[in-house]
Amino acid sequence: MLINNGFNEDKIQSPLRYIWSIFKSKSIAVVAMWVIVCLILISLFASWLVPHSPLLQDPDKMLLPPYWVDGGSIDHVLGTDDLGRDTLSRLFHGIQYTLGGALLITFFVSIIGMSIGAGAALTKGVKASILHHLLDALLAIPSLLSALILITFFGPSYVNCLLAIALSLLPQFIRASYLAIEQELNKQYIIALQLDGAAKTRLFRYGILPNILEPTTTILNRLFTMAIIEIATLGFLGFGAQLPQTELGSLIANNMELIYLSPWLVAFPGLAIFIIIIIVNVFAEGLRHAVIEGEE
Amino acid sequence: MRLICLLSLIVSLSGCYQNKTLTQNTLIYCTDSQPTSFNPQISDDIASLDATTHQLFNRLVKVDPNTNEFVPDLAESWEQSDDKLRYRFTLREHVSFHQTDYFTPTRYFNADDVLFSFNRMFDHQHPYHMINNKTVNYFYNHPFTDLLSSINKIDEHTVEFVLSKPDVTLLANLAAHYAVIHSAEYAQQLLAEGHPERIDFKPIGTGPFVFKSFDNNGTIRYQKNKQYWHSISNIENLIFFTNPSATKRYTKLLSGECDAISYPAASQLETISENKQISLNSKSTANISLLAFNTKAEKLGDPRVRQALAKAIDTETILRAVYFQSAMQTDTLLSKQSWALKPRFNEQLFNPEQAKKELNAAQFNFNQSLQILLPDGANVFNPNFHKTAELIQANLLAIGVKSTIISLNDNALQSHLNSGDYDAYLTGINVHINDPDSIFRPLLSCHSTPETGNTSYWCDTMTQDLLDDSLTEGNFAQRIKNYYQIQDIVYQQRPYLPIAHVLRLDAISKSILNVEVNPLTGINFQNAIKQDLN
Amino acid sequence: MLSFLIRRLNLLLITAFILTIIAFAIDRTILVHHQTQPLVQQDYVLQYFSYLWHIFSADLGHSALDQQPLLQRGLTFFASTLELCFVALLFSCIIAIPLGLLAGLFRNTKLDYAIMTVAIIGLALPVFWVGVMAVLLPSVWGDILPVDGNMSLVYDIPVVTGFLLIDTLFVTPEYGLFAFFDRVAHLILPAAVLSFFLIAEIVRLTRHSMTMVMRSNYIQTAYAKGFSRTKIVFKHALNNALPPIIPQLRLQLSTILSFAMTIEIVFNLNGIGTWLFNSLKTGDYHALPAGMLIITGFILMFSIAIEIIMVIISPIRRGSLYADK
Repeated sequence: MLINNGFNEDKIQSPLRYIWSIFKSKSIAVVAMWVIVCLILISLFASWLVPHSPLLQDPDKMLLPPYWVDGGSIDHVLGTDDLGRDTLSRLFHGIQYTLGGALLITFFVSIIGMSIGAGAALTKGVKASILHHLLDALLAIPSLLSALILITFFGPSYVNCLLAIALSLLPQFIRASYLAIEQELNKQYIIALQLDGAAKTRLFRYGILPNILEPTTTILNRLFTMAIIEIATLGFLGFGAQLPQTELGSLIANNMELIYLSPWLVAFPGLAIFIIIIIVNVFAEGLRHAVIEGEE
Repeated sequence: MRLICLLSLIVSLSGCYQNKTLTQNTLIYCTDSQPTSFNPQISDDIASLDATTHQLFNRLVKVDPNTNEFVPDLAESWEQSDDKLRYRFTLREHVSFHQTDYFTPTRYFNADDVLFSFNRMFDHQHPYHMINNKTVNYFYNHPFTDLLSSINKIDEHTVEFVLSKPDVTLLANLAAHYAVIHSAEYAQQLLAEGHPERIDFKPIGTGPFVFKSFDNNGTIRYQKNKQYWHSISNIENLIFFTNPSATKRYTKLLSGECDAISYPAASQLETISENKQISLNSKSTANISLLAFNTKAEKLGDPRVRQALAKAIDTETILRAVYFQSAMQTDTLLSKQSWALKPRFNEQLFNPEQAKKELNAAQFNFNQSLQILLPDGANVFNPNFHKTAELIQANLLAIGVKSTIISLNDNALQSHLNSGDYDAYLTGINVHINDPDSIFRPLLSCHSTPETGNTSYWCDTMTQDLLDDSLTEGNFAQRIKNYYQIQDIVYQQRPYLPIAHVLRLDAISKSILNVEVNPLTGINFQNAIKQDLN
Repeated sequence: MLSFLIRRLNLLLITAFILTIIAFAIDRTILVHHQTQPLVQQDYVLQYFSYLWHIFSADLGHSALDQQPLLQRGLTFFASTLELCFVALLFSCIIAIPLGLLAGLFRNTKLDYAIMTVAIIGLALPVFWVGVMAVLLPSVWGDILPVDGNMSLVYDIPVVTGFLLIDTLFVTPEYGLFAFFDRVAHLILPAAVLSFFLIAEIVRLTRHSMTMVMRSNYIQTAYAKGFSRTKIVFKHALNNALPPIIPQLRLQLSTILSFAMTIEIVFNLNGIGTWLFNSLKTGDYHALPAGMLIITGFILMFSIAIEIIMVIISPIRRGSLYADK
């Protein structure tokens, strides 16, 4: 055993493990990762984590400030809103709606988009050409506008808003993954693989996928950021989550009239969105750097 | 470095971007909603009244805001016949109608204009009677129909109003917002052009301001009427601007882009009253915010259930959480100032335990869920409908009654109301003349539909008889008795739960003086002065 | 050159064709969903062609509320949107390009990290939230800068071009330059908020492009020749680093418009975003396909224009003029 250990030192790590070891050395990114884990836990278990029900009213404790401000109480760490509902609990549920929704969108859009993008990149001819032009057309419609159009048909609700955003972000993702794969396809090792007679699935799985990690992290990050921003924007405009759902954007819209009385109620949800996006971007940047360094 | 450059640029720009001389003689009033027309005869929403009554038009008589007496406006004087059936008005001479790019008057104001203005409402055969008449309830509740038998032109500057029976309310009616005087000549011109409907959207009046333009962003522009027969306004340009967000309106007031705003957000009243640059003008009104119980709905058909639910709702908390200081708590439909108010209901209504007992006694089915219907957004009756509904929902849940909140936009709301598919409805009613009938009739008459106010579908022969009798009742004491009885019925049968009497609020910059607000007929900028505070 | 133009126009036509089909589909769906009057039973293909005919004769229908022609109104509003975008673009180019170049030059240094952090912060700020928080500003700094609205209401500006910055110059006899300054003052805050996103984007692109250029062989050669660093950067690198940013930014155009529309709604600026938002709120759904056609039409035209300009200014791209592919 002991002797064996001595020889293990120059064991070759798998690429993923190697990237991971580089990533671990970037302390900010690691911190970001842990925060993301926490946020995901919050969005999964919001109902169990919160101190109060987000809809529980308390007529005696209306518009309390956060507890570090005069007049605040430790019972409501971030204060209460105009019906005496606990801001922290509402924020946690808001994160559940916004972050959870964005994660769902990212997951489904990336799977569907990646397969369509790969399919388009690996096929030639009329089918690819039609897809190409369709994408060109769809990409010319701003995603907010297409989401609005879809919402008009579906009717405003949280689920419909997720659906509309997913559909409006899909063309962008297909285009991005298509471009990434296309670029890789022209490289010589892929041509070598093709000459070897590799089937398309094999070509994709073993030839392309491991080599488009870096652009993929970038476009996934972008997809996620846009998803968060759009969920919140639609919620803010009143086309997304409906009352009493506490989506972060709609929280901001509903508390807007109270901004002079209790600016906290507007500030916190906005800060939450801000922090989520920052953290995810820092994490994704860290990961991307690790991938680049790993490849070099 | 660039940032500093940018900042200094911004500061230097901000110094000069305002044109002092122009802002000095322009007054901007930021309102919460757009007028539905420019004729107070056909539109009685507050935005329309504010935009028209005092700005564009004159009436024959008006009420002095200080003494509450009737004073001459377009009528110079009037006398009453001995049988109290005839009022003879001598009209003011050399009063000119507005001259605009769409109308140039060729004659001064005379008796024909008075006849035209009143006959349009009064005479069903009048060519203008059906113009812009969108609902069957046009001129519903209109006082002149029962009041007048005819209006006669004696000579160019004398008109005579003949009453069907002695009635003291004629002058009050002539001072109301719907008694404004239009130009008969303009009406003729429009008929000839084939566009009579324009009379309500491109108005011509005799008032202190001339209508200039109205664009779809909600900006109304007026110009000073240089030919005004009375003291000419100090304000050169008057601008009304619509912005539904109370926070944005307040922001614009702070940044100096609005000189006065209507209905500042209830939650901001405290901050506003602390601001030394702004004065807060509040007027109590008879406008009432209420919860209507659908008496035709299966779940609330039993008066005992309605009674019990009314006891479960904590109106005091609603007042505190939603209205802040912008309304007064009430337990009756009539305002405190009304002569018909029955001074009785002083006991505390809110009593959840009692409510629960009564529901059990009435064998209420606790498994069903009540539908609470409400408009989305806010209006003058309620700064936040949804919040109010959430409070009510929590109140009901406390006694075990489940409810769902349905928030709808205007169109969907109307069809929902007409179908009667709801249990309770959060609403309010606008009151324009100080007469109990103007509250009770829309709310309680069998002939009134949800569209005109009867959202509880209340129809009861006794109430109807009392309402009709009171209108023709000559004995004042008997009238009061009738109205007392109606209030008792409302109290016992609970078709409505009154929540609050809302205040009319305007926040006005301290640089603006002499703005008069009449809760019944609207805001008046005629005498406003803008001073330079710097 | 001619064959290149024809090829591009061909692509443009196909894309435009697909877009009109989409607009037509939206229009019909709206009719089915929200119209009470009975529909004329007709072949969809025929209906489509009559719709197309209407588009070609510059008629996108009329508003259900005030019977105004949708195309004119949409274009007027879109002009305001473009104005906002343009001011924001100008604003962010002035700030972002130098920052991006610095970050690219001093890659992986503290300066680079600081600049990239600023860029990420700009991207992460939710624009509508910034707009809402901006209403707190007047209570802090008084009437220095307007935070809401198109321009001060005291000016009555007739619509000539739709671009208020230009329209205000037509009324100088009445108001002098005050109206123009007023418009500029009203644009500052929304444009600044929009440029948060743009700055993040441009910094990223410039940094990437600069890094690529600095790594390229000709720059290495220049170093080897012993040129000074400043001379290399200003004479060789800048010329080659900036043009590639333009087509990249073009790809972001629809995202930029998306943000601009949100900002208009929050700041109550006139623009296509506010117009569509209000139309939806009041149930005037026919504005949707009209707005879509206006926006996408602009994006298509703009893309083609950029492509042609790129071909003219960039020698590398000129190759595509002759390529057969």
